[in-house]
Amino acid sequence: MKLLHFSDLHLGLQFKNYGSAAKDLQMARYETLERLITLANEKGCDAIIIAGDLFDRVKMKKADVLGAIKSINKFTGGPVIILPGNHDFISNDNDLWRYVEGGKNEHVIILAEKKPYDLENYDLNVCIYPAPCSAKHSSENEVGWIEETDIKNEKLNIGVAHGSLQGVAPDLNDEHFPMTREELSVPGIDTWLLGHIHIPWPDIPSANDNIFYSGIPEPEDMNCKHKGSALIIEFDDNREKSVEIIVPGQNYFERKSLVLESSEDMDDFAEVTQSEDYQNCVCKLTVTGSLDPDDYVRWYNEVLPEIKKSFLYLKTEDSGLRQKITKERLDGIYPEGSFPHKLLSDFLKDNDQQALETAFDLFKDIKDEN
Amino acid sequence: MHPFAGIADKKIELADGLNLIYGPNEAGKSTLFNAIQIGLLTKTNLTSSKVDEHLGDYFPLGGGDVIRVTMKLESNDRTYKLYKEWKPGTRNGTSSLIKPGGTEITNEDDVQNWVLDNLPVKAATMKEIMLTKQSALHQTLSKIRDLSDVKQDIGAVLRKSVMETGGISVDKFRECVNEKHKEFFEHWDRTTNRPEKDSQGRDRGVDHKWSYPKGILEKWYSMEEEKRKYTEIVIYENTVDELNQKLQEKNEVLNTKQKWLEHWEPKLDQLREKEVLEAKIKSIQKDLDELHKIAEEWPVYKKELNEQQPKLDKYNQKLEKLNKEQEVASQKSRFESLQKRVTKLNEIKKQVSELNVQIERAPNVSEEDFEAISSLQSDIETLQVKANASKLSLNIEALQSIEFRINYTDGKEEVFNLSKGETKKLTKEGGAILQSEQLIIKVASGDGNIGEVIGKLDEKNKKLKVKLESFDSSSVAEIKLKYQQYQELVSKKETKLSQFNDLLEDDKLEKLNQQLEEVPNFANVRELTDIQKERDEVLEKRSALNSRFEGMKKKVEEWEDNYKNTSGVFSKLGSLTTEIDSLKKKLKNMPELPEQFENFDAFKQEINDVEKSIIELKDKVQEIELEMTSLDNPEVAAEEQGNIKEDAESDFERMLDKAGSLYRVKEKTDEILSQLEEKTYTPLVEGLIKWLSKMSGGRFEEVKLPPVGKEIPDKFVTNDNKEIPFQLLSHGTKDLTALAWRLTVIEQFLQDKESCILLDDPLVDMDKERKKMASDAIKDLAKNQQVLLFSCHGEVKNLLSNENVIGLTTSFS
Repeated sequence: MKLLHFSDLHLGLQFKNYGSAAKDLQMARYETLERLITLANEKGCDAIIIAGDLFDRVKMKKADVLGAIKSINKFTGGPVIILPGNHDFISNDNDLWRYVEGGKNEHVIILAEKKPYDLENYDLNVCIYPAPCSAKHSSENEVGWIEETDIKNEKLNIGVAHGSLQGVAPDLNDEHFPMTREELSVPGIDTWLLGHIHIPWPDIPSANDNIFYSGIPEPEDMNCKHKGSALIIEFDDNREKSVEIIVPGQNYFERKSLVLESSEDMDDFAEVTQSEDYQNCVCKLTVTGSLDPDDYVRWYNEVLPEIKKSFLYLKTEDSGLRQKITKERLDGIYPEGSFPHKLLSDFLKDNDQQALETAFDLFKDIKDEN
Repeated sequence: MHPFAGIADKKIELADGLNLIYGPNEAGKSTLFNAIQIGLLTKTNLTSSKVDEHLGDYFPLGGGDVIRVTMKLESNDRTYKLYKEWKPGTRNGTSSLIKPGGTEITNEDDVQNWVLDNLPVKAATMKEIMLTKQSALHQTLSKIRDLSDVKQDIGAVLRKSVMETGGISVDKFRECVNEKHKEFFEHWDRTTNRPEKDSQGRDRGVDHKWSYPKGILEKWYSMEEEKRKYTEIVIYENTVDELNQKLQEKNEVLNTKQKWLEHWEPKLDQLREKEVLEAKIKSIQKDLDELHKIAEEWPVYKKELNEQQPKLDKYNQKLEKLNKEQEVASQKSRFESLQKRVTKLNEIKKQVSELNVQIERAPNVSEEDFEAISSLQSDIETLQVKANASKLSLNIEALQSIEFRINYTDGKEEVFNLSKGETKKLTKEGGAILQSEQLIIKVASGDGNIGEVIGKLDEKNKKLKVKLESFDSSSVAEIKLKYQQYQELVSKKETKLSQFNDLLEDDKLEKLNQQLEEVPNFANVRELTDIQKERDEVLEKRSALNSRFEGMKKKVEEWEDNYKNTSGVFSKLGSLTTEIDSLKKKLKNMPELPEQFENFDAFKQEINDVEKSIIELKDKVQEIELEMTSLDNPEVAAEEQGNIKEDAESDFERMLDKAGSLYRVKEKTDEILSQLEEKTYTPLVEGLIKWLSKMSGGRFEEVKLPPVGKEIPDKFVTNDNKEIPFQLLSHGTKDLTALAWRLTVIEQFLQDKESCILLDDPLVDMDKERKKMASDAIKDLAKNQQVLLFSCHGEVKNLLSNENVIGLTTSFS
């Protein structure tokens, strides 16, 4: 049996602090879902298991939920099993899952209850033991019930949970359904498929592992250093498994650092960004260094706007970028003893680079006006 | 001018130095003035509307669609010919500049740029200071105050003398810094790092924002709003968690209760029936038990009742025997009592006889006797008290040996023998009679009646003595004892007699003694109490036996009534056993009452309670759901808002950083400029004083500049040390000071440069003397500069008659 395991797609993220790229980033998540389903069909998966946080919030627009479910309905290989995570937890007063229920086809199963879900109707000798989240935060996990259940050994038994696994997922306040390996060592459960953390775990999954985090299929912020991940897990008749990490993400987030000390540095970086494909990259660029004032102006007026075009979104943090304003340069622009020279020299002497630049730019603006 | 306004074609030659353009009103002075100003400063490639606005008035009055000005400009023996032509419509004008070598520039912008580059000052300053057509000179200063370009120009010129500005307008820089500072720090309190409070002291945080926030304030508001949103979302998510938790708990309880109710409610009728059946079975079982008992007891009772009489007879016989024994024992007891009584009576009788003997022997002190003696005793005591009331002290000294006797009132007598010189002291009550051979001295105390008292006392004593002797007694106490002893004997006797009579009752002692003479045989007779105890026991046993038999009899009668005979009992037993078996069989198919309930009523009560609590729980669930619906749903989750908040915080920090650098620039600028400011305006003040002195004959000695806008003086100090604000100066003096200021500023601007200065009737409002002094000052200026002075006044013409006078007449055009 082959299954696709992913989690934490967080459909509905708004990306409000990503300016013009927000809409693209929002839509990319729906596109990635569509891509995952297509991939599962192409790879001949027998089931898809979504281990929580398919949605970012429980309050979602109905149209968005139905759009996502429409994609999920397209899976033809078998059941799509969806676990409510802590972001899309299930409760009585919950429109989200009503929308899902209303839009899903029969082969889409919502793991709403703490009970075994036998997949024999789908010709799979598999039983799912879910730990659905019923709140955003909880200091207690939901896996306890499984130990008290009669687990049939003749089936492939898969536990599906969402939360932090001690030693793997940081959970400072123990509020994300914390679990321990001991708690997951339930006799009879062959494999645990988990969701919550956004990187796949183990880094290099092997056949001997039996607990898996799939990671996030479409990166969501700068903390995500990979390009998205999901797992294809295949079990043979002896329940021996092979695991493959796939990269279904569309966009990715990257932090870059750039030190500018010369005009060449700027041009080199511009060349790199143009020669490589960054159209799906959301980049936070930290620029440091010091440039000749003319280059400094050229950086902002010419080079940076061009570089920005290469990225899906480029956010610069340039408080560390300075202008090279030396005494020699001041002497060349303003007569010694003149007011601008005196003011700027004082800042230079005080090593107040920021005030020096502010005053320098102001003088320059006035001069340009004249 | 060919043509220009009312002038069709006119050429005017101007000399170096001072030129007086003289003529009456409407002679064309203003036209010439405007032609020079427009010819120099107005471009020819204007839009149609600008042509109308700026030049509309100068197109020929009688029609015509063109105005032209040609100017010949000379400097350092180089001559330039400037030609400008304007026509209505957009960019219909033409310009031309022919340079000394004959090179001609015709590009309109290039021509105008050449003019501007060669002006000694900026165009605006040229227009306002040097080419001013100013009918009211005194308005100059207030007008300049509003022209920041011109003021900055003046500041720059003045600063040049004290400091190189590096081509930067310091004022403009300062203005720019101030503007930026305002932009960054407007409504921001740097000390509290919060928005400034308003004039009413109210906080202007995000709940009460300042309008149109900029700079730090804008970023702060934005940051605080994102922070608030974050907090609200966290609270929202926690609230949803809490409400969900509650909802889940309530639903779990609700489900449990509903399931319980669903399970048990349908069984309610069966359980009710079961309880009835169980009660019935219990009742039948009780009947059965009773019947079994009857069946068992009936024959036993019957047998016992048949054996009843012999048992009772046995008890009766024993009782009869005991009764007889009791009678004998009673007789014995009575006889023994009589014996004791008679013995006692005889004893008392003997005691009375003995008492009679004693009474006869005892002196009979009667009560009367005793009272009489007591009365005498009492009188004697009273009299004795009186006699004792006064004491006598006798000091007797024997002058010679003497024997005497003293009798006292108490009847006592003493005899004394005193030797010569011997003394005797005596103290006695009442009185005394001293008697010797030679004399008798009677001494008495008080009023002298003591003698009578003593007499009576003596008498009573004698009577008492007689009485005592009659009873053979020596004292009243003895009499009293005898009296009491006699009385006691009498009393004892009476008591004994009373006891005797009481014991005897109505009997005669002799008769009783006779009764005792015949003694019955009381041998082997038991004690009465032992007999009675045994008798009581027998009576009790007989009574118990009787009761038992009565009970049996009653029961047997009852059973006979109910069942006739024991067969009837067995028949009934059979029918009831059948019935109870049937009921028990029925009971087997019925549900069991949950074990925690004692009975059906308790169970029924629980059903009612559960139904009630289900209704309450449903209400509560609905309430929680309603509360959840009423929550405002945030657009993003807390995690995403956390990122937005962090970005806003970073933006704010960066803005603070940026604003901080600007703040330091402002501080440093102010510091440097304040050090230079005093020196900057010194030439202005000195120039003003120089020109004012020239034009006022030393009337003003000092000029004061305001703290801000130092380009324009605001106070003038006279030679008698009066400080007069500009507004309070007379009309003429205002003109004078304004002219002096203009000349000062022109001098500062031009320094060693050449220029042409136009003055429009500057002396018009001055008195004759000042006109003279002012015209001399203008002549001084004209030594280095070309000055065109326009006037229509003959007085001015006379003052400047030696200068180049260009007369204009109405026929000028």
